Amino acid sequence: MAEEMIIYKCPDCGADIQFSAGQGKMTCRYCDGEFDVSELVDYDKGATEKKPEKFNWKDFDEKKDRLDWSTEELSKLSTYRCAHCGGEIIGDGTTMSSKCPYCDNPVVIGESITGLLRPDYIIPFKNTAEDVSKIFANFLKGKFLLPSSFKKHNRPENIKGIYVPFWLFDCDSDGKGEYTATKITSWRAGDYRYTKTDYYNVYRAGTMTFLDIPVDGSSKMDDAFMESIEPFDYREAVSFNAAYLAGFMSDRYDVDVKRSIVRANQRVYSSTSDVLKTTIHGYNVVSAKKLDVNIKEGDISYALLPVWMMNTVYKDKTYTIAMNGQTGKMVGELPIDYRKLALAMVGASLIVLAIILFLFTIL
Amino acid sequence: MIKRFLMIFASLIMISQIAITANASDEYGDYTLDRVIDEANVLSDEEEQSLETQISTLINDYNQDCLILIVNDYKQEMKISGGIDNFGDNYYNTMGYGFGERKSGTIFVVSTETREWWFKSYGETSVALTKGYGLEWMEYKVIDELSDDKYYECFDQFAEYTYDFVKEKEENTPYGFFHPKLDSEPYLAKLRKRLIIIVLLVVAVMTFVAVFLLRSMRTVKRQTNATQYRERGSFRLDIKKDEFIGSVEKTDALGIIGKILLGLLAILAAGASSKSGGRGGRY
Repeated sequence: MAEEMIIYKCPDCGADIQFSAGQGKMTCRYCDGEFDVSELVDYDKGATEKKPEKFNWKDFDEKKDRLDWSTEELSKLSTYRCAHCGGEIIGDGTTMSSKCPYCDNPVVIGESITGLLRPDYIIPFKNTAEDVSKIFANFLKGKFLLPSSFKKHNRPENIKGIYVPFWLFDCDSDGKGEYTATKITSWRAGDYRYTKTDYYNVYRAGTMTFLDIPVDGSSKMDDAFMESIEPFDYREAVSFNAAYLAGFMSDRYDVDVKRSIVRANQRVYSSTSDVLKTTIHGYNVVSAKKLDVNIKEGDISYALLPVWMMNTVYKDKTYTIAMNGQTGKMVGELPIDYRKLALAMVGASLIVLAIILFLFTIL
Repeated sequence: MIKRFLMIFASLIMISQIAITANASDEYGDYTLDRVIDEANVLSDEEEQSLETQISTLINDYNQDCLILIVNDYKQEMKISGGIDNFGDNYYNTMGYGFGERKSGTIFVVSTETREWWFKSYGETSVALTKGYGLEWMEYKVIDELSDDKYYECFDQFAEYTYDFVKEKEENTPYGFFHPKLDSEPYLAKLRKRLIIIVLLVVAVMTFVAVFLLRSMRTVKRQTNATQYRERGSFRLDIKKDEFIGSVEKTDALGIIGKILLGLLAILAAGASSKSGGRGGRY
């Protein structure tokens, strides 16, 4: 009959640990740690238990409690599909007259919006296209690495106001974390350094509520851009009305709820972890051993949020800028004058060298 | 009566002369003291005489002192505990060296058995030698001779450089880093010693500047969490438990980082000692 041998691992360094009869304790040969057997059994049990995270989002029911398109909306709005890039836009006939907002090619196919999901909420645009130009000018201020010619002559092109589809996630998060924490005391005597490390198992559990975490529902919009212009103020969100779309384009969602949930889960998990960790004080090092996050009462809604998109071309390269149509927060990539960067680095190093030389002279 | 009065008057003048002389001796220093004391017998009589002559020139021209003190083992001559710096400082002050109220002058102590050296400047001489980083410069120039047991050559150069430094200072052209007569060799050697630290510092600053400036140009960044969507006041901490597992004590010989840190402390300490006018070491 084969015997089952249980090997315990050192909680501190992870090496195999042995029972020391002399000390009546389990001792680690590698880090000199000493532990009671009962502690190790508990530790081992905890370390091997792996509870799966539970993300209990309600099944998203497209029809439940959701108004359908009115006859008027159906008659005014159409979807437009770009034959070149495949991007689909919702808008009225006047807005969608000429070009695809993504690739600048003529939009050619207009279709009925029948069958598309009607949004729950919309946050109306608060900034005009003129505001965008002013904010863009301010956005360029103080950016030392910007090429001078770009600063002087560049103007944003193709400024487009787009209602971007977002899935909004509400939930209660229940987090339970187990951490290893150490307090380190160190002192020196002669040519030796003495270090005393106290090890702790730290347990934290708590609940918190998240409201309206937005996840971009359009594959055409760059997720990094959409997350960079956060946050939106949902107190100004209103029930959807097609009238708000007049003069703007609206992207149609093509990333469904199921795919978007993954991103919402990541952000909730990360926040829950951060919040629990902030309650641990008085240690030098804290490392998470285990974190279980359960999401309860997860609810999802569909909203259109206002975003200004624009392009600017410099030396044959197109730079995209995005702006939160509600708060005016602008983000984007800008051209870099690498000569200025080199100048700044050399200048800074010369200043440091001058300070060093000065200190050497007076000391 | 007149004779008596004249005698008393003459006596008073003589007493006041003596008092003035005594006072002058106290204020302006003692010219009669030996300036080269060689208890270790490393110098010949001619060499001692030659050094005395050099130092006399310094004293006569600028009224600033210079003492060269060579002992076998300073520890055996000390009544109180302390290093060679305490020994030298104590000797200079108690034996009455230095000129003027500030006891201007310089001392160079060598302990041949412990192979330690130390020099320090006082009063006006410290203005000449320390502000122009003279002691450090001289250390670079003369201590190599000491290491080769070329005692006379070492002291000869020391006396010569001291004269030069004092002369430049008295002529209102004190030595400093940018003085045309002062070669930058010791200074560059000092920089070379710390080249790695300087290079690391410059690279760190360049990297910091580059990262700082580039970050302002790239504002597109994905969110890492959903903290801004957490409902205010919704967090409730249900479990808060900290369990002590055990302790581990370790004893390590100081590693390279520890030694570097100690080295940095030593550099700072050296800077401080140089600031106070003294400088020393082993040869």
